[in-house]
Parts: sequence; C-alpha cells; structure tokens
Amino acid sequence: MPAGRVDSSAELVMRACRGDVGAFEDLYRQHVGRVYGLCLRMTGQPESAEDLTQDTFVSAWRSLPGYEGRSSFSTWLHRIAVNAVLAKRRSPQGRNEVSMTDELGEQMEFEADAPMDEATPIDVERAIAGLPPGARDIVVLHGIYGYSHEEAAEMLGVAVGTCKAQLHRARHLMRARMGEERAT
Amino acid sequence: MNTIPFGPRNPPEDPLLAKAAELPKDVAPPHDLWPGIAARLGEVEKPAARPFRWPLALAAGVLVASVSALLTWSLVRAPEGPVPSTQVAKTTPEPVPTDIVPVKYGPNSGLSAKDFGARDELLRQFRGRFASLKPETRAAIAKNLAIMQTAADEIDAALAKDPASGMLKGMLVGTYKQELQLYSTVVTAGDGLTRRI
Amino acid sequence: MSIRNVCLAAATLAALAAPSLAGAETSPNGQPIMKHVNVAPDATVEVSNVQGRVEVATWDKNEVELVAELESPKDELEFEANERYVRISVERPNGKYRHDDDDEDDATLTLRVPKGIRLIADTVSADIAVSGLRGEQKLESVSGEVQTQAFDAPVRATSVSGEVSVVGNGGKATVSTENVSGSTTVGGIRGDYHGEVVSGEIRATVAAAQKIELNSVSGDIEIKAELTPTSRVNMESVSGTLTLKIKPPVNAEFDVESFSGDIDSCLGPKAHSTSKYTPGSELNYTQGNGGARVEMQTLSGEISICDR
Repeated sequence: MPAGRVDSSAELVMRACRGDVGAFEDLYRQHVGRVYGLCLRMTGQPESAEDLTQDTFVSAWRSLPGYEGRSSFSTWLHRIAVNAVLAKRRSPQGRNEVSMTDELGEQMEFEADAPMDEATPIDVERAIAGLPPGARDIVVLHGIYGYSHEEAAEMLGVAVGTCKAQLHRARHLMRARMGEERAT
Repeated sequence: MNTIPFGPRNPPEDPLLAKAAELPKDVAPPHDLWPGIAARLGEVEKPAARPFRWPLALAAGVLVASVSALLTWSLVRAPEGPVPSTQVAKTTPEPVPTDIVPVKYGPNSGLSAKDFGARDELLRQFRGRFASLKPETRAAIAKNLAIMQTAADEIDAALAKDPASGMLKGMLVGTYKQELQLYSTVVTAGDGLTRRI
Repeated sequence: MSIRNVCLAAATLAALAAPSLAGAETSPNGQPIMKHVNVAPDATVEVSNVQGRVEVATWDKNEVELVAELESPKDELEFEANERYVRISVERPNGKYRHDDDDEDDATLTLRVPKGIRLIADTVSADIAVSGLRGEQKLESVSGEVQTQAFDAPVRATSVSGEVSVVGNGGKATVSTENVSGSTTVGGIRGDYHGEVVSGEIRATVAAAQKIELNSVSGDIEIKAELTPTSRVNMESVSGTLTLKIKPPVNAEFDVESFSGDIDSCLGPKAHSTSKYTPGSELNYTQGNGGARVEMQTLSGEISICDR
C-alpha cells in the first residue's frame, strides 16, 4: 500500500460509488477473505461458497449507494452474504442441497465417528460444518464472527430467542461431535 | 403492558464458543474470484450518480484525514478511465419484494390439489393487496413465508422417514393453515367497504 | 379478521334497519370530525383504518363518541350508525391501499364506548389500543401494534408484523392471539389461551389454565402456567423453542415428543431416544397425582419443562 494511505475502506467506497472499478477491486481484495470465510462456513461447500462470494460482491456493487456507513463495510458485506446464502437455500437447487445434509443424516454421522481427544481448530471447524443449518448459522455469525445475538437474529431474519436456542443446541451437538460430556 | 420476567439463564462462557472465536475470520478462496466478478460487473447497472452519503461527523473526519492520502493514491494508481456517467436510480441493499412465492409442500405432505385450490383464490386477492403494503411489511411477509417454506421442507424430509407420524402431519397442516391465515389477514385488513351490502 | 367473519359481518349489516346516521366526510382543513350516537349497551362497533391509530376507551354512558383526525385531505371518514350497530371506516379513494413513499398521513380515530359493546377493529398499519372493554373483541392489523385488556368476554388479537399485547384482569376470557413475525405478550389471564406465531415470540402467563394451545413455526414460546386437574396444554413447534414453567405443585401427565430436537425437563425422568439411529426423543410420565395433561411436540426445536 502506498505510504501515507489511511483508512482505505471509506475512500474506496466513495470512489467505487462513482463507478471506479479499480477501487471496488481493492475493496474486494480487502474483504474477500471474510466474505468467503462466512459463506464457506454457512454452506459447508467450497464450490457454493465461491459462487455466493461472487454474488455478494456483485450485489454490493449494485447496492453501494445504499450503504450509509451505519455499520462497518465488512458488516454490510456480511449482511449481503447472509442474504445470498439464505436465498440459495430457499431456491429449488438449494433445497435439494439442504435435503442431502438434513439433520437426520448429520446426526447419524455424529454417532458413527469416534470422539476426538483434543479440540483442535480443525476439530472445531468440522464440528461446525456438521451442524444443521440453523444451528450452524448462529455459531458462524455469533461464535466465529462475533455478532451479537440481536445482530445475528436480524441478519438471519429470526427472533433473538431462536438464535439463543439454536446456539444452545449447537453447543450440545458440537460437544457430542467432539466427544465431550453433555451439559446437564 | 405487563413485563413477564422470562428469559433463559445466561450460560457461563462456553469453551467451545471461545475456540470458535479463535478460528481465523479470513479464509482465502482456492483461487482468485475477481475475474468472474469483474465480468459480471459489466452486466449490471453502475452505482447511482447521487453523492455518496456518509454520516456528517464521520464524513468530516474522513475528509480531514484522507485528503493528502487521496492525492498520493491518485498519483500512484492511474484511474480506470473516465468516470462513466451514471443514471440516478433507487437501489437498496436488500430488494423489497413486489410479489411473494407461496409455500411449496413436498410429496409427503398429503395435501391435495383441492386444498391448494382454496389457497389460489386467496392468493389472487392477497397479491392485489401485497404490492401496496409498506416496504418493511412486504419484506417481513416475504421473510416469514421463507421461514414457512423451510419448515415445510424440514417436515417433508422428516415425513419421508416416518410417513405415519401423526405429529409431523399435524405440523404440516398447521404450517399450511398459518400460511392461509397470513394471506387472509392481509386480504381483509382495513377494508370496511367489503362489509357493505 | 377471517374471511368467514367478514361474510358474517356483511350478513349482519344486511339484516339491520337503515342506519340513522350515514355518510362520508373529509377534513379539508385538518379539523377533527366528531360523531356522537346513542347505542344499546351491548351494541356492535366496527372500526376500520388504514394508517395511524385506533384508540378505544370506555365510559358509563350508552353512547359512542368518535373524534377523527385525518391528516390527509384525501381520506374519507365513513360513519354509519343505529342503536345496535356502528360502523366507522377511513377510506382512501383511488388507491386506498396504495402506499406511496410520501404518503405518511395518519388518521387517528379516538372512541369512547359503553363497556359491554362488541368491538371489531381492523387496520392495515394503524395501531389498535383498547382499554377497559368488557365485551367481545376482534382486533386485527397487518403491521400495526395491537394492545388490549381481557376480562370475561372472548378476545382475539392478530397482527402480521406488529406486536400483540393482551393484559388480563382476573377474568375468564378466552384469549386468542395470532402473530407472524411480531412478538406476543399475554399476561394475567385465566382460562383458555390459543396462540400462534410463525417467527415471532410468545411470552404468556396463564393462571388456572384450562385449555392452552400454542403453535409456532420457528418462533420461541415461553409460558408460565398454573395447572388445574382439568387443564389441557398442547404446545407445538417446527423449529422454535418451547419453554413451559409450571407453578408447583405439579400434578400432570406429560407426553413430550421431539423428532430431532432436545427435551430438557427438571421434573421426572430424562427424555430417552426413540431409536438408536434417529435423533428423536420422547418423555412420557406422570408427575404427582396426574390430572392435567401436557402435550408438547417439536420437529427440531428445543423443549424445556420445569417448575421454577
């Protein structure tokens, strides 16, 4: 980055709003990791995550004038990404994909694998990937990316109580997946 | 309004969630996605010409801090060509639906064409009202229909494994009834004239 | 309001004598429009509004008083009344259901009515607030808030995305609430309660519960109930959380089933799996002397039962 360059997102957004594709590419390079990371963990499928990441940035380009700075640009991108993931789940193709990883199938997978002795980052990632969609969404948004229950609920279009319940459920399932004792 | 002191007990900090928080936020995609994005940018409308609006105080701070950096940056990186003229257009981060997709019930639902015939008439009236509701109301309705769709899909998948389950069949019928009730509420709302002779 | 009730209301209108007061008025100068009519103490009052507010309070007179404040000169107030029936409606001709971005004009209808009248109110986005009414109530809105009190007569409160609030006053009203994405709060009622949500939440307290039926798709339901020996509680969700707190001592039969969610009970035995290969679990037992019956079912939500 050039010397003396300060907070790039604000300037880049302003320039991108004026049609500067180069500025938007810089925004892409700054934020693609977080967007892809969120899409990958919410879908559990790298190929879908790539498509959804592209969809997110294309939607963001179209919607730039609507970004008013009330949240960080990263958070705004995440909102668009979450919408893209949820929209894909609702689509006929997405429904087929969801049905292949339905809760029953995933639970059977939990029972088949041996528990892990130590929770390595890979174990945690695998445990999250094995969660059913609702529980996985909240663990990704709240657990990994640090959104509050209220923020996550708003992004997912569910009640705050539902988020908390899904988180509670996710903890149980992850502990079972990783072989730890169930909480009573 | 009474305040009912409900609410789950806040659980102590969970070690699993703490581990999740330690996971890397950024995950690089296997390959560069920019070329695909750039190709699609050429197909969509460019951002509107209206000035980028930023909260006033923040805008002032950004301006003061970034003037010199902007000058430096413009010297380092050549612009991508003349700034194209743009059209004024209303865009929002989340498009407001102008129509809805009724819930689709799977092959295990047990609902018949006759059942859906009753819904069709209601939908016809509902769509006439839906488009005229406030944007936030339309968005809320669309979101909740999506939730009902997810529910119908989950129940149908469960029915495939346990087709005799009375519980599941009851839930599916309940979901369908709630869908109809939603349409009905919108259709009859604020419509005093329908009660004239 | 259901289509069936709309047809019923139309039939009721058809059976009435010609109204003594009828007509449409606008308020070009923005001045309030006032109406006043003598009615029977158990007359029916129907109020319909699009945007703004409907406020209904009670008094000791056998009269209906209306103060209508119409911000928009395009709105028309329809007022028809006789001794048994009053109909009040705000109409927006030429696209009365059209919401334009610059169309923020409200219509506020403030009524005072006899305590025993039957009230039917429905709005698109206007809030509905009712206080002190002892008669039957049917209150419905698409996006407005609905607030009322319950005494002994049936109360039905519905909103698609607005909040619903019903406060009991020790009477035995049958209360019914329907909400899609708004939150529902019901407190201090006795007797029967029927609640439905899609993604919104229900928080309810029911004393001397007789029949409680609560249904949710993904919204959470939390209820505190005092059971009697004849209580019947049925709670069902697709993915929402169901929480039941029962005032001790608890004497009830429990029939709890989950297809893939968890069941957590601080009473009686732990839930057991229904199959080695499926995540489902169930809980069937009798606490204390039995008597009341509690059925709870969920597809993938969580169920929680306790006496504290």
